[in-house]
Parts: sequence; structure tokens; C-alpha cells
Amino acid sequence: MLKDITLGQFFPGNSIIHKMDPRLKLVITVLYITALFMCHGPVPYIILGGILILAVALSKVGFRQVTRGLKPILILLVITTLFNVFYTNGGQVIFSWKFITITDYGVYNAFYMVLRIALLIIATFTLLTYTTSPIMLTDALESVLSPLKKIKVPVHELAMMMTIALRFIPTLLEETDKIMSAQKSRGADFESGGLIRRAKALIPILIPLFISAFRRAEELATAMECRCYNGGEGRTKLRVMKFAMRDYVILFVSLAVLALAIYSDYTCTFGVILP
Amino acid sequence: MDNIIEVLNLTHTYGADTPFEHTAIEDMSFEIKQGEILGLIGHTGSGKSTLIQHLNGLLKPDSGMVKFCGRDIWDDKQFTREVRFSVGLVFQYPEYQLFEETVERDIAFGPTNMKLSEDEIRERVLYAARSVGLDDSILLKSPFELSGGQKRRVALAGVIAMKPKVLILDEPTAGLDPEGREEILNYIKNYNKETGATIVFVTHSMEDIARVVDRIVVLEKSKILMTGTPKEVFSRTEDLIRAGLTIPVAAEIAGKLAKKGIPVSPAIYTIEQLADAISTLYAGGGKNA
Ligand SMILES: Nc1ncnc2c1ncn2[C@@H]1O[C@H](COP(=O)(O)OP(=O)(O)O)[C@@H](O)[C@H]1O
Ligand SMILES: [Mg+2]
Repeated sequence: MLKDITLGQFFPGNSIIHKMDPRLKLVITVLYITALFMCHGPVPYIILGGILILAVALSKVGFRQVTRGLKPILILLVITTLFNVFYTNGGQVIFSWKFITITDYGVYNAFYMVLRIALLIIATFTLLTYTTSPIMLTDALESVLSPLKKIKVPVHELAMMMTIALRFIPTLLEETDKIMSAQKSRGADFESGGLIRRAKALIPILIPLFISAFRRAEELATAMECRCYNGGEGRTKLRVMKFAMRDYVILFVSLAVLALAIYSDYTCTFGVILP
Repeated sequence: MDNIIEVLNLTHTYGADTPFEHTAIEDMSFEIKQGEILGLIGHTGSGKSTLIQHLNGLLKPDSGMVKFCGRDIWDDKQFTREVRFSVGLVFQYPEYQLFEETVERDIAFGPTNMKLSEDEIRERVLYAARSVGLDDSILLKSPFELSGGQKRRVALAGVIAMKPKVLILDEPTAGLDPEGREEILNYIKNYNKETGATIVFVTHSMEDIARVVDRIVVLEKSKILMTGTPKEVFSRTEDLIRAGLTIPVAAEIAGKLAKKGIPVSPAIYTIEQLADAISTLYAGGGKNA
């Protein structure tokens, strides 16, 4: 169960995607998401889906891993489908029974919304985090957002918070697993009973989990203070990020592909209005 | 003696089909006898914790089988749940699983899940607390205001209160001072004597188990390296060292003496045995040497 949550997990590797400058990855991902929400028709989606498949193939993390990342949001996808199918007005009615009507717009909307969310999750939460270590990712974020420091946005502090949060996701999951096993050994039952009983059954997990999270937070804070950490001012980096020739090529190619997707969206729309 | 638990060709792989795939247990077979204290020893990462989670049905074998009283524990759902109660598992650092407002209620968590009567629960809580040397006055305190050693014993009592037929302890002495270790070892030994319960004692420290266990299973890199009485196991010093284990000081000294041609048995593994052997050498054997 908890094993399915791969959020924030990093698979070390040596592929071209792993080696890309993390800032570039971040920027391309943001542009990609923008393109996803600008496009509607089949042609742009074939282009956007295709380039993502290519990126996954190049990253060598395996399609199995990537689709596994979709598992936790399966429910979200199902709900999205239902809402779009039943609550879209307009278009031709293709099915009608009592108060339920399904229109072709609804089906069309549902299809693209699900595709959009799936591609978005694959691009960000799986491909990006699988191939970029959390430290690289937050370093990149800090660097990309650093102009905001001029208007007093605490970029470094935010990045540090994110680093720590990402660092502790696997730890906390592991800990949850351990505590659950321990309580199961004492006969705790998380699988049967109504909603209230199940919610109550979580108490023996949540309390030890919170206590240990606070303990860890305190230990970490102490350790950081012992090493004289006092914010971003004048702090230098161990890993200095540098744009390689490869990165310029990737940037150019990606921009071209995304531009093509958006262009094709304008030239061959299928006359469907989307929210 | 009957076998209470049998492990047959057990294999378990973590993260199958991912880059992190790791076979933590590979084709292991051994048995645990009714009423014995079995030591399960192995270097960190050798698969001890993974193995014991199979013994009470927390983990399901990828292949192979675990039998409790002759029956596959995954035979049916009801039986698996029964096994949970019959095979008590105390995790490593169990003090982090405490959650109740009072020590009493925390110890009662297991018995309550067993749906016992109030009186029975109360009786078991008192019994369990006493059997790990906790004073009755502690029962109404919050578990979070106790010392580390006391917390550990509360957690231990929480499992003992379920009166399991088999009590498995994962590194129960880890992180304790010598005095605390000694105490825990004694409670475990007493519990075994008093109730006749089978005990599985998991550790990576030879020193700990040398004095308490009847039999030892040594793990090395997901496999069983050897099985035998402490005498048999400790006489194979070199194999143990190769498996990354530190042998008891007494066994080490005995081994070194034996190598120098001084006639002490290489099967010595406690300080008392070593002292006896040396004093007999001085008393009589000296002339021959
Ligand atoms: N939940 C888990 N997921 C993945 N790998 C694990 C998990 N638990 C243990 N392992 C791995 O299995 C191996 C054996 O671990 P474990 O059974 O805890 O050994 P021991 O208790 O002897 O130290 C280790 O290499 C460990 O990294
Ligand atoms: Mg362990």
C-alpha cells in the first residue's frame, strides 16, 4: 500500500535526462505544463505525449516505474472522468436515462482532462523527481527564483524548507510502515469496521508518528545550528550548476517541440470549447 | 521436542521489478522448537528483521512457507489473525510505538484487541508489568515521561500481556547501557522459565546471546550460515568473523590460547567457563603443559 507512493523518490542513474542541468529541467517542465493547458486537440496531444514518452525512454527508469507513479492518483482520475462526463453541458446527447445525460462534449472533456492530468503527473512527480535528486531540484528552484530575492521573497529559506520536506518523505513513509507493523503485531486492525472505527484505528499510528517527526525536527535543527547554519546570506554551494553544450541543444529542441504543439493547436482546432 | 514454527524454503524480495530490488531472505529453512530460547544472529542487513516479520504473518513469503503448529500460517484469514496473537513480536526500538495516555492503557492495547474481559485485561497488564520489573506505581503515568529503559520495558510488557506462545524480540538490548541489557536478558530468561513460552532472540551481538540461548541460527547475507548449540557455533570462530560478527571475548581468548597449544577447549564462550578452565589448568594441568 504505502509502497505505491513513489512521490519524491529519486532513482540514481546516468542517462542524458539525469545529466541535464536541473534548472533546465525545471524550466522545461513548467513550459511543458503550460503547453498542456493551452492545447486541446489530438495533434498537439500526440506531440506532447510523444515527447514525454521519448524523455521517459531516454531516462531509462522504465515505463513500469513511471506508470506506477500514477497509481496513487487513480481515484482522482476516476472522479475527474465522472465529473466531466456528467456535468458538461452542450454538445450532442449520446446517452440519456432519467436525470443522467451524457453528451459528446462531456466525453471529450473527460478524455482530455484525464490525459492532461496523467501527463502532468508523469512529467512532474515522476519523471522530474525520479531523475533529479531532491537537493539538485531545490538548488535549481532556488537559482531560478533568485531574482525574487530583490523583492524580499525568502527564496533560500523556502528552498531549504522544501529540501527538508522532500528529504523526509521517504523516512516518514518508512516510519509509518514500521509503526503500522508494530501495532498490527499487537492486534491492531486497520482493515475492518466502519469509517469511524477505521479513523480511530489510526490513532495508534499517528501519535507515535507525530512524536517522532517532532523529535527528528528538533534533532535536525540542533544539528544545523551546531554547524552554524544561519540562512542563505553568503552561503556557497558544493555543487555549482553549469549549462553544458548538451543543455543548450536540449533547450532548443524542447522549445521547438513545444512551440510546434501550441502552433498546431491554433491551426487545427476541432471547434470544441474547453473550460 | 515438537517444532512450534517451521520455516520452509522461505524467500522474500523487496522492491521486486525496481532498481532497488533486493532479496533479503533467500531459500531459508529451519525450525523453532517448543519451549526453547533460539538466538537469531547476523550482521546488520543480513535479513533478521525481515525474517521474523514472516513468523507472525506481517509479511507474506514470495515463495516458501511458514508453518505454525504444523499449519501454513496463510492457510486462511482467521488462522493468520490467530497467529498474530500467538506469536508476539517486539520490534526494534519498540518504545517508539507507545501512544496511550497511561502506561496501563498502552500495555492493555494488545489484550483489548484480543477482546478479553476487563478483569482478564487488568490481570494481564499487572502480570506483564511485573514480569519486566515495572513498579505498579508507574502504571498511571504517561509513557512519555518515563526513561528510555522504562519505555522499552513498557513496550515489551505490551506484547507479553498478550501471553504469546512464541515471543520474538528484535534487538531488545539495542541502545541500552550494560545494566539495562542485563536486566532485559534476565526478564526474558525468567519469562521463558515461568511460562514455558518459546523465545526468539534477535541480535547482532554474540555477547548478548552467549549466556541465554539454547540454540543459535546464524544468518549471513540473506542465507543461513549455520545452526547449532552455542558450543557448536562458537567453536567455528573463523566462520563467524567472516560473517562480520564479533565473537564473545571469552571465546576469543580461548581460541587464542588453544592456538598457542595451551589445552583449553575451543568451545568455551562465557567468562565463567573460561575462568574455570584456566583455574583447573593452574591447579593440576600446569605440570603437563
Ligand atoms: N521495507 C524495506 N524495503 C526495502 N528494503 C528493505 C526493507 N526492509 C529491509 N530492507 C533491506 O533488506 C535487507 C535486510 O534488512 P533487515 O531484515 O532489516 O536486516 P537486519 O534486521 O538483519 O539488519 C537490508 O539490505 C535492507 O536494506
Ligand atoms: Mg533489524
